[in-house]
Amino acid sequence: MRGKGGGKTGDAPDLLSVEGVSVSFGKRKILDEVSFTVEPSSIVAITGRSGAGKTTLLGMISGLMKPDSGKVVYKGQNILRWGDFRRSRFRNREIGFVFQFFNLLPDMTSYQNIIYPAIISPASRSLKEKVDYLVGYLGLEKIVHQYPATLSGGERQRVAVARAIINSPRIILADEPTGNLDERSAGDIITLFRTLRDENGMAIIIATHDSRTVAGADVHLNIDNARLQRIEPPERRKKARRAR
Amino acid sequence: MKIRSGMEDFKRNNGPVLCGLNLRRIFYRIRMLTNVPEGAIIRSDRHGNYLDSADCGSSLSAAWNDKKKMKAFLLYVGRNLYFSMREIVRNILRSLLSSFGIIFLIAFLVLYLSLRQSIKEYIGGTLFGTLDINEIVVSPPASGAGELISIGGRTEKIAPDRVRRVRAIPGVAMINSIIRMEYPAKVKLEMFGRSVREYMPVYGISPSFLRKSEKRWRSFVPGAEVPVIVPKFVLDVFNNLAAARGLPQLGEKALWGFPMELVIETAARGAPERRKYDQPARVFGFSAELPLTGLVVPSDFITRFAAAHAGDPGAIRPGFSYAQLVVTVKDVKDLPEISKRIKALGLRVESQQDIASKTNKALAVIDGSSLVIMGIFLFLTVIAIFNSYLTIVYNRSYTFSLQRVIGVSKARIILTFVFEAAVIGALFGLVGYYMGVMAIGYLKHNMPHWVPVLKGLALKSDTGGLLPLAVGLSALLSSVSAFIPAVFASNMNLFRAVQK
Ligand SMILES: Nc1ncnc2c1ncn2[C@@H]1O[C@H](COP(=O)(O)OP(=O)(O)OP(=O)(O)O)[C@@H](O)[C@H]1O
Ligand SMILES: [Mg+2]
Repeated sequence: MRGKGGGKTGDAPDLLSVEGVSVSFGKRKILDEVSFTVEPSSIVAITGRSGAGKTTLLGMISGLMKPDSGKVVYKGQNILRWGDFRRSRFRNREIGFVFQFFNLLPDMTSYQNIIYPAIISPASRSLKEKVDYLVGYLGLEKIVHQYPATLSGGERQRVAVARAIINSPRIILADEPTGNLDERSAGDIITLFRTLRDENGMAIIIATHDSRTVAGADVHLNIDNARLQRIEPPERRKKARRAR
Repeated sequence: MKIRSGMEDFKRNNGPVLCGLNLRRIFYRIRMLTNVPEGAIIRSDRHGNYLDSADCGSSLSAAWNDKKKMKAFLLYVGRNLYFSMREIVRNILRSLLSSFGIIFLIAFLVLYLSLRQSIKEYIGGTLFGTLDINEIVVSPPASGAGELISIGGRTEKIAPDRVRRVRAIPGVAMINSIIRMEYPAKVKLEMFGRSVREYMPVYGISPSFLRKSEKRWRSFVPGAEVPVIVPKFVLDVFNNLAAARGLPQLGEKALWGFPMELVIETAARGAPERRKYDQPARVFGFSAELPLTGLVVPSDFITRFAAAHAGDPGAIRPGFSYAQLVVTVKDVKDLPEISKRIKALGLRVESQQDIASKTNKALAVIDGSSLVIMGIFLFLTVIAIFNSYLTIVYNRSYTFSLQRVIGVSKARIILTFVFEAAVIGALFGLVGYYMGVMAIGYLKHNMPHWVPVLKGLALKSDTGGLLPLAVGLSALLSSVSAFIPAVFASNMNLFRAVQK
């Protein structure tokens, strides 16, 4: 089943494509025929006024919500047609979440928070080494046995990122990940995302208001009046990307 | 700092393909899973040619040996159990209060079942319960015989002419009688260096009647010791007496073959001239079957004794009376007709059918009232548990939403929640069981005072199989009540989680 996507070679395949997704709550149309594709190893920034539907869109992509119409195609398959079990597994293994409010489980230590998505599926082995590695990589050694309530915002977000990538997902969905961070911590997170993009081929989809985050993205999408437009980056950025 | 992918390795290589995947990559993946090199948090190269475990899981696992797989699986189960247990412990106080009703429900259930079982066994164990289908029990008109608990200590008797007339009814094959010696008799025995003397009724039963249960019981041989059967009633009474005198309790084993003497007085207790006869006797056996409040001896001992001493001064006459007859009919078909004729003689009649229906009637009363009480308990308990789990779900909505986001399936959230409820339920079932057992213990002590007629009822605290039943039922109840809240829990969505 997956072979179809996995076997796809040649020019860079789409990792994920959203095709004609429409959502309305009551009479209000939040998303209207939204379509876009996400390539592996890219950062996609989604902007839009508050209430524009960014979070809703992330909810659709992760299969947590169903649109009124349209498709979300992952590796050639419409995830909206999967059953809950398969969608959950998809979320668990292929997607990592990072939120504005960090959303760690308060009654678990950082370590337990990080390990949690991995214990859901028995496939994860040598988990301890993996967590230890991530903890070292993200510089969380000192706080790994602390509870989230005792952490700073930046630390919490790094724990959240560790949790998001523990299962080596292909896509990271970040909902205003820098919204509650100071400039430096925000910069750290963005740098981290870039590293994950460059070194691990992850696609990172960020809903954001932050212009610096947008500037660092490969693709900029804006939701306005329920419609999604691609905003072409300034010429120099395009060049810079080509040169790379 | 840099996460090194190590993917360069297999970018160069494109080996054989399995499930649409590159085998080399699969093994690379296994290597990463098993001993994670520094950079190994990745599963795909930057062009999206990734490895995936989902559908090739079986081929992957084929490469692992069973031991490792087992270990990984156990680790997985262990970790999940750990997190489940954490939740249970964390929420135990909350669920404690609301699931409290379960304890009473289960305690009551245990009490009821053991009471019911004891009553059933008690009835089944008595003479009436073991009645054959061609047998009729005939009792004196006013006696309570057949009212479940029987003739012990009553003075009603069947007149000898009635016995003769019953015997004369055509179709009657045999009559076994339970007779009662009319002479006052004392039991004399030495216990723990003390001599005990106690008046006690003496009943006679023909040994052939007890052939089923007491094969070796024999008729009385003049000059020899009288073989005595001690009904369970009597043993209990005896032990009560012993307790009152500060003597230890006697079990059946200790009393087996115990020597004693029957001191029989042929005149009434207050008579001026009384003759006493010492008759050596020995405990031959015990019977739970005989609902009699006196010692049982072979009936020919009583009849011979009465014949021999009828001429004593002031002797009571007749020396024995009929307490009960067990009439065996030649043909079961005639049983109703014969019953009718015996009834016409002014006697009370019980056959197996009557007893069965009476037993059932008594049990129905117990069942009915118990079911009503348990039904009310059940209703209240389920409502309480349901309500409390609903509260718990809303209190934990943040956790559940996050779990959904992280990739826990609905089914799993439901299962985990129901599992938690089941564990708590089982815990309460255990507590309820022991409360029930304690209640039984309490009743055991006090029942004979409250309801003297139930003295012989042997309430069992360990009715076997009841513990698993109590725990299982309680777990089931709890998990069923938690199911709908669990479904709510599983339907939490992303928005709840992130908008906090
Ligand atoms: N379950 C729901 N029922 C009704 N309306 C909803 C529901 N979920 C979201 N909405 C509405 O949809 C709109 C889009 O919400 P969404 O959270 O996606 O916006 P957003 O772009 O993420 O905004 P922000 O930048 O403030 O986070 C909002 O107006 C919100 O009120
Ligand atoms: Mg939002």
